[in-house]
Amino acid sequence: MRRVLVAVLAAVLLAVLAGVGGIALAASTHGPSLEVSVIHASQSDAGGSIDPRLKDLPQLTRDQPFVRYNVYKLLDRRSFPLDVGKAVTYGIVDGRTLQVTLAGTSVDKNEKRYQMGAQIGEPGKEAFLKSLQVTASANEPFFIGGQSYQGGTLFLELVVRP
Amino acid sequence: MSLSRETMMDLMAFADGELEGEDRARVERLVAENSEARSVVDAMRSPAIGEWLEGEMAERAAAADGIAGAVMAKLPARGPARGRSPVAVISIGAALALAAGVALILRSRGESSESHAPVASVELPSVDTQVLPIVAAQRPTQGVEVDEVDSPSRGISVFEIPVPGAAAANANGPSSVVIMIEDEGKK
Repeated sequence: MRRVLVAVLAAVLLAVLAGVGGIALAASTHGPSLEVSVIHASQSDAGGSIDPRLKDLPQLTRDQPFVRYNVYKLLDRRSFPLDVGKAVTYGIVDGRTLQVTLAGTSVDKNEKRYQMGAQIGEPGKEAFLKSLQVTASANEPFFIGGQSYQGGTLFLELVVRP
Repeated sequence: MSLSRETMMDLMAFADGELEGEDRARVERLVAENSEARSVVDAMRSPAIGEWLEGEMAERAAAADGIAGAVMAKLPARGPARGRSPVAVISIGAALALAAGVALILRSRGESSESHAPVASVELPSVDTQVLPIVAAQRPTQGVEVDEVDSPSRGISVFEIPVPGAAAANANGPSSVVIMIEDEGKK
């Protein structure tokens, strides 16, 4: 009888975990997300290097403005749920704050497009980026660069993951 | 043997005393007139056949009783019919909950993989309809477009760059953008 009860309790526990896991998984797979990568770019006479985690960057370093730098390092990478009208706020390493809002989505030529607004500001100071409105497809990054940091420049890579 | 199958059956029934009335009279006449029929009835009624038949019948009856007895003996051991015990109810509930959980997981995974499946390539009317990435991969994507950029008192440059990945080698392919903003005097 005791073994039966243990087996039943184990089954109940397993069932609860499976149910909770299913709900969590269902919730986690719902909706797009915004991936923010902070890249520090600098120029070094000692030779160039690219952080291996920046797998798409090498092919871009032949073009402006990336060609100005030869050392790229990934400082941070975060992912945020992206809901329409709900701002994503991210504290940048230089003290400024990035805010991204998904304004809406549309379908153009069978492709889902994301309309987003972005601002970069700093409390008590003039906004670094007052307003940026972009329309992007999923998995296609765009960059906001120019913030001076530790002898180099920061590039914020933003990409919507479906 | 010249007797038909039906006649043999009648003779066997007659020998066992199972016939009555006109049937019995008919078979009696047959036995009286036909020596072959008479010998069959005599054989059926001989002691050797009778004892063998009685033995077989008794043995089969005992076997049938034995099976019935064994079945009946098992019934009390399992107890009379009654309502489900709490343990059984919990077990059934747990099994149903487990099945529901697994189904939910599979469904959510199905939804996730569904967005990567080449379902169709028709024009989708709703703005919230999922893009079909396989279809998208078969044609150039539309890249990133800057609709507006505003940063007062700072110089702004917008660079168009090829989209990283498969379309990078295509000069006419989609493009992404880099918005460079001057940050003079910053740390």
